[in-house]
Amino acid sequence: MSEILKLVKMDLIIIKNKSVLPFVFFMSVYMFLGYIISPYAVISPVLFAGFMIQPLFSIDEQNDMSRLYGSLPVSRRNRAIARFMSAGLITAIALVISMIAAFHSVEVGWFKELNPELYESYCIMQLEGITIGIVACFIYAVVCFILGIQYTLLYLFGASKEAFTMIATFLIILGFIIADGLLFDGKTMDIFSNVLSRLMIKSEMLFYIVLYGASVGFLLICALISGLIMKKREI
Amino acid sequence: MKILLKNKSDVPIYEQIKEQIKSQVLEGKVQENEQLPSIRQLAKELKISVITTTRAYNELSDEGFIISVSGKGYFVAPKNNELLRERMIFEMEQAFETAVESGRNAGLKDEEIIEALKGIMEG
Amino acid sequence: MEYIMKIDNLCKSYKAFSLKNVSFSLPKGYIMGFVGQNGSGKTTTIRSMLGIANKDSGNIELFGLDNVKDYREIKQRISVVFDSLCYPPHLKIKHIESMLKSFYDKWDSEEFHRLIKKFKLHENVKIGKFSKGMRMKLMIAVALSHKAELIILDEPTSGLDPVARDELLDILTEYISDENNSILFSTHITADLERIADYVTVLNDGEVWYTGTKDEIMDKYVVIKGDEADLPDEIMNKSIGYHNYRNGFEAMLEREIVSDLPEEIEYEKANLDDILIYIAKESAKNE
Repeated sequence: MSEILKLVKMDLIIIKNKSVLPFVFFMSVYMFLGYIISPYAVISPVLFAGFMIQPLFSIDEQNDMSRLYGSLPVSRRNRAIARFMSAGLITAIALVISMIAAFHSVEVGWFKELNPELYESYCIMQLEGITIGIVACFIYAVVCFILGIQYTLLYLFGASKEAFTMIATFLIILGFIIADGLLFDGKTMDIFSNVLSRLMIKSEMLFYIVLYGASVGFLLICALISGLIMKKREI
Repeated sequence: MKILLKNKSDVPIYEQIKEQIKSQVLEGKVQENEQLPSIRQLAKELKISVITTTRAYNELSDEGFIISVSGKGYFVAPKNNELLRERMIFEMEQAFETAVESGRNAGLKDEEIIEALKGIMEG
Repeated sequence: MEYIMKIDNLCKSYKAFSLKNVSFSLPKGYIMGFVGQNGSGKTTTIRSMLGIANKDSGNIELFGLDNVKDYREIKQRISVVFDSLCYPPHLKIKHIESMLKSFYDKWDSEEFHRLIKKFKLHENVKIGKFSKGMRMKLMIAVALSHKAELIILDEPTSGLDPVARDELLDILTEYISDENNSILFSTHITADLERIADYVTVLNDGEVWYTGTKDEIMDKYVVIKGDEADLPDEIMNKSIGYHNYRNGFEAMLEREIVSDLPEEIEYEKANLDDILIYIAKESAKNE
């Protein structure tokens, strides 16, 4: 485990000096816009956080860093697992920051005067139980789902295939939804929504536990699969 | 002790080391019982392989010019060392042969050559 | 004799190339030069040792430990220096240290900084801006900062100017002056090896062509030249890389056979470059 943490630290050092500034800029712009639009818009930077560490894959490939990893006392499996953990960690940090900002934007209340219709929908959603926390949790789950699939594909097809894997991920998800619609009449999606609504209504805490748990769990499964791919991989 | 190697020479490096240490011992340029650099130290200073310096030291030790003290290293053999003495006598005889040949080539008779030798010893 | 590295019948196949039964060993405390044409398998061998490439069969032992099972302990005790920077170029030296030191139990920060100073490397410049020589010295500084007992260098001198190469040799001979340290040094610059290597392994087309002491291989072969008409057939058949030009022929021969040569044929000592050239010519003939 400590080996994985050391690898995560390494990922963070590499990315900190590469993408942090543009990313922080992005996040700030979005959050600021969110103050004017709606608290839900403030949380959307979370969507981009995970993608911030994507350059790690191309950096690995361009500098043939398998040589460095090959000389360090680490296993290939742990390299893959650490990569997923880095994604989950960065996304979680972005989540916390944007949630704090979202709550703050409610306090400050600019969107209430500037966008009264959105304020109205905000209030309605609040009443229905779709709180900021719940939306944030949901977005986190979606991001983990997307990143989990994309990173696994990157390990499968090679670190340089960023564009390909992004499109492929999108297609897979789309394909899944379409297949569900065609084969099961959209039943799977229905079951999903039902479960989520029930949880939401029953207990917000339970919702968080289940969805965060599922997100991290999904990341872990993808991490383990990628670990296996890496182990067998011919270099 | 200074050793200067000629990389482009045909003489193998271990030979060059041997020759230079030998002549320094025979010419008295190094004190008896003086400690030599270790095999690895010498390799590092001359930027050559350890096996080369090992071979040079082993052969020098076999020929009696240096002695190896286990645990301590290599030292210039003391002058009363039998092998060294024999070696020095051999060197002297070689020098005599060369001198005699040169003298004869110059047309000197044997008695004249001996006179010249005495002259050097007294002078 | 204690062996720091023992490779036994290493086999690894790719589509266009394979390592076939590569075996050689390095005794502790010595330097082994690893030579061969480009594509002869040197880098593949090193990658197999490190587990970067999955070997098909064979045993690799480092410090008496299996390279697959005990890789963690092995990698604590070895360092690898590559021909090009293996770190992200946008980082600075302080980032490299902070990235790497937690992986090594024996990381010596003081020693690392002493070496950085000694090599005159700028701590606040992105390493991508370093010259080739500086990049090599950075990798060496890392290699020497965690008390590694074996340093593996994969063509570290390619593209280096003679001054930097000489500095590298200085560093390596200093390292090997401790008899607990060993070096495996793969390179094209055979002049360096002819000086400091104790042992040499020659790879040709994925196979070991020679492994043994440097002194032995440097003495073993001669290059012969002359008129084809003067050369007896049995000797031509025993020669390596025989080629007839308009002005005469050239070939390599084992020194022992030289006594059977007629007077008209000239010969001189074959150095490592010659050996590589002639065995390549011989391989080309046999294709």
